Amino acid sequence: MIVADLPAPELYQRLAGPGIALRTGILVNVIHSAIPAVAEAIALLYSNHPIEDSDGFADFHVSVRSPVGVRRWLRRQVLFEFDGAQPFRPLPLPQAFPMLEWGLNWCVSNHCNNFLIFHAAVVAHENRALILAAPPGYGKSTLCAALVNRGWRLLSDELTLIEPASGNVTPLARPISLKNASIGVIRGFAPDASLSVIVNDTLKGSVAHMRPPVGSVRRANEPAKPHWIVFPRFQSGAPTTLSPYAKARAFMQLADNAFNYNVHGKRGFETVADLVSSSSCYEFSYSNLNEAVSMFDALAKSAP
Amino acid sequence: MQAAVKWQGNPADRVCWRNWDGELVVFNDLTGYTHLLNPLAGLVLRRLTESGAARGVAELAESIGRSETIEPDAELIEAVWVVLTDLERIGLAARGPA
Repeated sequence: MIVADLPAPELYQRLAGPGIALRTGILVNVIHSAIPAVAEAIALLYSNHPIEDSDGFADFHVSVRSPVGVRRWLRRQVLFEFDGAQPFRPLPLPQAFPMLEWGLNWCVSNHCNNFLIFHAAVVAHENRALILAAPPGYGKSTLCAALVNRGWRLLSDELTLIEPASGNVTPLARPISLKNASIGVIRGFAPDASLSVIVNDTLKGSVAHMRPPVGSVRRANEPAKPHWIVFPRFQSGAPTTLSPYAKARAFMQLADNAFNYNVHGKRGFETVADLVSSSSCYEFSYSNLNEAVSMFDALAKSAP
Repeated sequence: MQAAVKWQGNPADRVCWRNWDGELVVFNDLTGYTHLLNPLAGLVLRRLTESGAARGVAELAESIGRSETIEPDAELIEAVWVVLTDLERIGLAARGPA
């Protein structure tokens, strides 16, 4: 069963009651929320994701709910709970769905230490993974959203999970987080893409989420082999430029972008070293999305 | 004073590295830190770690000069000394018994 199989009233009822066991790749997340905006966003953005048996094993149990007590009248706020604990301060109620997404990211980056986890988007072309590693604001999610709207497979827009034994990328196809100007850019670039309502005034500015392509969700159990590591940067007016990047520097930048490199010790070093050795490394600057996508399409076609 | 000092690297099984185009990325298993070394620092570290024996700055400069076809003059010796003190600061080299 997938989310779209559930009639809206039943989805809302389940979320408000026993929760739904939402499968995102290898992970199962039991989600509880009686907040209508959360249910609406799940119905839209996770429509193709499988729902598992609620009594089965789940990796994370989370809820997004309004506070109880007097605060519910003083300020309309929302809380994220993980196993009953509240790792974050409350946020304004309109940020309920973004908070769920940020909370799920937090669950993965803080608990899935069987993987080496990079703060990077990752897409694939014929099971060859393109890792897009950059700090927030460098345009990696925008580029990721553009690529998956032109046939690349989404593995993740935020968390690249590398399985140390195989070196493969494990998919985690979830909604793509778009911020500020990139929301309008992707609306213009891919008018058919399904985007959530825009939530304003978050810590990251205005935020909207894009539904992952159905093909990416259906192939969420297929790992991909890293092939390219790219450090993108959006610069207004910049020409589209892809330049080789020194591997030693790529190593250091990737390690800096990892959530848990230090947790893995020597194994982490070997995993990143193998990843860098087996991939072509580039830095990439762009301002035109069509040109950017064409460049990566050409790169994929020229791969041996 | 410099000439009298002997230098040692960490035990070979506590250090791992990869070399890409002369730049060495080193993981120090004793500290958990990873370092990016320039080519000269990489050459010094490899000699210290691979030999396992304490070596003086002039001996290291001479070995590097031979392999890289550089004159092991005072300038190279001084550069190697600077590298050794940097490696010492980050825990990848230590002054051994004279």
